[in-house]
Amino acid sequence: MTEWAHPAGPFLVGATLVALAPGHVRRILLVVVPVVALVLAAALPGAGEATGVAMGQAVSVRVDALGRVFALIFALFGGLGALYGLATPRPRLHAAAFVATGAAIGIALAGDWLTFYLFWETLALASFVLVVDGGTPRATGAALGYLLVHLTGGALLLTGLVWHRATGGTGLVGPLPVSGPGFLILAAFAVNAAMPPLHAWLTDAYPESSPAGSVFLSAFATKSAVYALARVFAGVDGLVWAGVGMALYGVVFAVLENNIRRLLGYHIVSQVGYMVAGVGLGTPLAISGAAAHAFCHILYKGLLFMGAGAVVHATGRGRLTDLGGLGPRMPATFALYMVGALSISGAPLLNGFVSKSLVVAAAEAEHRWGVAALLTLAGVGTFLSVGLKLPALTFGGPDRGLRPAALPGPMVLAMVLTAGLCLALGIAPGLLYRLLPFPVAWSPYTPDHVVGALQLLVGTALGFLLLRARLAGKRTVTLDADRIYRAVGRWIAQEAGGAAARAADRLEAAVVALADGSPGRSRAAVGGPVGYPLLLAVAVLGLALALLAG
Amino acid sequence: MTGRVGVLAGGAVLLVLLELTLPVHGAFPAGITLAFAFLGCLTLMGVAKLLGAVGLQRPEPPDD
Repeated sequence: MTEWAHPAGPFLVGATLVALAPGHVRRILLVVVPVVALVLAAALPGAGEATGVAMGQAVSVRVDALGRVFALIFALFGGLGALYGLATPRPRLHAAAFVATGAAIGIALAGDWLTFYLFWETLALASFVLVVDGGTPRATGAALGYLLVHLTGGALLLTGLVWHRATGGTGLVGPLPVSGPGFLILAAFAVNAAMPPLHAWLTDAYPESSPAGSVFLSAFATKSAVYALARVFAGVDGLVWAGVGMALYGVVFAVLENNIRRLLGYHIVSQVGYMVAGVGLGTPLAISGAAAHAFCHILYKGLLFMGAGAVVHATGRGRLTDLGGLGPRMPATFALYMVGALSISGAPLLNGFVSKSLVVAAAEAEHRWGVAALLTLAGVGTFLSVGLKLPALTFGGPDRGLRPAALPGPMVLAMVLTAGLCLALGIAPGLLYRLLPFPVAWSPYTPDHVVGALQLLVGTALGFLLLRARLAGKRTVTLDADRIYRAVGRWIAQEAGGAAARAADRLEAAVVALADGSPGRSRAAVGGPVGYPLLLAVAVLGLALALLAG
Repeated sequence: MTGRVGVLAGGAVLLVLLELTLPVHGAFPAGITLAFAFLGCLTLMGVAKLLGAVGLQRPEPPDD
């Protein structure tokens, strides 16, 4: 029997410690805790299970190849993110980041639905705190929106799980059909995966967090959902087209975007689309491709958010229209950002080239030529926005007289290490392949594939140069799908509010009439409005009776 | 600007020539990937601009 320990443990215990420890001890913990967790994650066996009892329910932790690769990258990135934010003196940020990391690992290793659900909601709450860490009224508003959407998603998940169990379903996390409770669970996963039109929480919230907070946010919620989809809904064909739609939706909206971190947020939607498409294809190569892309995406997208966060940290500005000419003043940040940008664009020698190619190759292997072509087109759009537009308008272009502040050493070191990992996995894909759930024999480094990838980059660059003037940033906001459900929500709230007010008035009138027999008696005579408290009391009483009856 | 276009165009020609020398060819003629990227880039920008033009892109509020 192989001995192993849960790698979420150090993060969850460490969260309490970093919240309470003084500054110098906290900085030590921010390095030691992730290292311990990473060692535990790397030592996880290929297969294993542990069971226990919590709240009267059997709970279990399960390790297999799929969960292991996600647990490993979550633990690894938890450490890189902690290093990036090491100089940020806010215990709340570090505690929330550790809880989020631990929760993401917990999701990847959950063996039963109860454990899964608890970690799922814990991740939502910790991410809410990470958004609030932005410290502005806009950040607070975005965080409340984030919480509302994710609690709704959590409610869908819980309802689906209760329904699933009530109809005799197993308590173990595993494949489900897309019908009845399975549909609700899929909808909950779709919310976390940021599938349009359920994605606006991401592009609203991530740019509003602090630089370090957005680095953590970029890694966990959507990739946990990808893991969940791969675990429960692999091979559902509808996910192929949902993924293709995500890949294209993100790149089109990114072209319009002026805020650099929101632009990167749209590209999370796009890149997660590749993973969702891979899950939908459902073949061993596609599932391994989805897992590989999640692994690599966490690294290069984290690096991109680190680079953009460094710009925000150093200049206090985050819009393309306010930036420009920073390349000579921030050469290291520029170079490291470009490693991430070329990686997400699928440039050879970088990890995105390997993982993105796996998903496209899986589509080609199934003769899904349209899927492969549209995912390749999304890659063109990715290089256009992340590899050309954003750096050209931030690090290139006219000098706007910005004098960026020096970056803390740990921030630069985290970017260097993350860039090094992007390069290492790109040069030696075997390092990545040995972590994947299914064996991969496919090699990305064939002459025709490398030449094809270079042609994609050069062709896109030519198009960019031709129309560069039209891509210049504008001080605009982009109306997204959230406008629709915000309008619907506002209408429902108004209607529900009106109905509640009418019910409260009638209830109040009835109680007053009962009290002294005069229906026309004013509110002032009974000491003010009593309708709403009465309505609330009736509602609570009804709920309590329903629970007792149940 | 002209210099950059020249370098990229030169690189594009070299890549197509390189593709022609490869022992293994795909089902499509050499340079098709390059053309796909160029036209795809223009298409995506066109679609985005169209969405912006029909009202999805609005001036940022002054207090934003």
